[in-house]
Amino acid sequence: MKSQRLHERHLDLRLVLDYVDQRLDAAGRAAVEEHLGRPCPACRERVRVAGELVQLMRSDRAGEVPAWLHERALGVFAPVADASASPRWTEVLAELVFDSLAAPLPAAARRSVGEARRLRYRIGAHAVELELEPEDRGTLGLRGRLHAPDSALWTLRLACGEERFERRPDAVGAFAFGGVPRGRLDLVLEAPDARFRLPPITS
Amino acid sequence: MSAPEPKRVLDPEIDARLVERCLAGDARAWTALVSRHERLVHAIARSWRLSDEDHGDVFQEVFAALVRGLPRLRETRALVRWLSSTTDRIARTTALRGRREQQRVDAGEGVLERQTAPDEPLGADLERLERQAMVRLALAGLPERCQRLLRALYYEDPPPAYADLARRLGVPVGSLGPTRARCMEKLRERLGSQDARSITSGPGGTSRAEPGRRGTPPGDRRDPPAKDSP
Repeated sequence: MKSQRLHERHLDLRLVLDYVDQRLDAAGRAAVEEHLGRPCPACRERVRVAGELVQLMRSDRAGEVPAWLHERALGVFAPVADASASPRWTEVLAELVFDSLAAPLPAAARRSVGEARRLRYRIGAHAVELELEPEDRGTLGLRGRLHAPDSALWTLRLACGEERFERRPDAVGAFAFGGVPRGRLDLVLEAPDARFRLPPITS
Repeated sequence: MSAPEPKRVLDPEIDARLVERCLAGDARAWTALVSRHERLVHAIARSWRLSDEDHGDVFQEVFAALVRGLPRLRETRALVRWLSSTTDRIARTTALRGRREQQRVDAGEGVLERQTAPDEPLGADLERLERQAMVRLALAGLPERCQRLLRALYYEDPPPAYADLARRLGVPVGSLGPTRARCMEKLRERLGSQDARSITSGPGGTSRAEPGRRGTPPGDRRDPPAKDSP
């Protein structure tokens, strides 16, 4: 029946990807191939483009660039002092949408995150999640995830008293600060074309 | 309702904006520009199997050349091609120099023959690396859930089973197929229909700066430079 329907309509992208990813059973695969055998250039082109795109991604083994190489590339640029110090964009205050101190987590969730305090902020069209957890030496660990496109291009600047920390999220937006002193935390997130300031966090 | 997303991430404006700010001396824009393109430079330089020291020198030299060339390079595709050609040229020159120096050392020590590496070809398939770089740039602009899903399915080796992936992403198994299709559609849109075709198929005979050095199958790539160099 499914095979019969495939004769009558074009292959949708989901089916094309299942075919390309070899996730179809023998019957599904045969049905797709039967359709491709008909004079349907649109579907053949769709399978070809999807297949080549998937193959490009699968064969991409560029790998992470080691930090020491990254630093050498950064070192060739001579910044103009004013340019970084006085960005042309305005600063936007992030909006707190969840704080586990104010809205305690269910017992099951508490068991999984332990003593961590969890916060979530809306930053423009994006979001950032934070998890604050006491460390053995009386300091705090602050980790989180930035939910934004191009998250690896963002810079996070954390100020705590006299101490300053700077991190760049990884490709999936994850970041972590360790050894953060207790007290007032001021976190600023800088996107390539915007800057967001979180309300001060008291820890 | 969330804010509308930009139509394409190969948004020609992204690199143009970053270049503009670099030209104004903004170090953060330079960091962002390096982060967007350094994998391509790394992959091409690595294909020449240089020592760490030479690899670092090539990396630095390419980005120093980029600083000088910034005013001419505001469009993503042009930037990617320029980086790829420049890296390949500098890395090849460095590899040749290193090989000649090694030959002099060998001659001085009376070494008759040195087998330094298996007979794998040196150098990269530039066209493929450029296309992969364009896809990576487009992928980096997708919503985070799409990035996580497509990275897991197509960049992890081996790709995870759907059940494992669903657990990891915290979504029902049944949603993975439809979400994957939507994310791939977004990726294709961001590459642009014309761009997607040329990215997956290559330039199709359009003229390139060094036509003999692009698009050759891996087995046909260049020989190690020392064997034919004076």
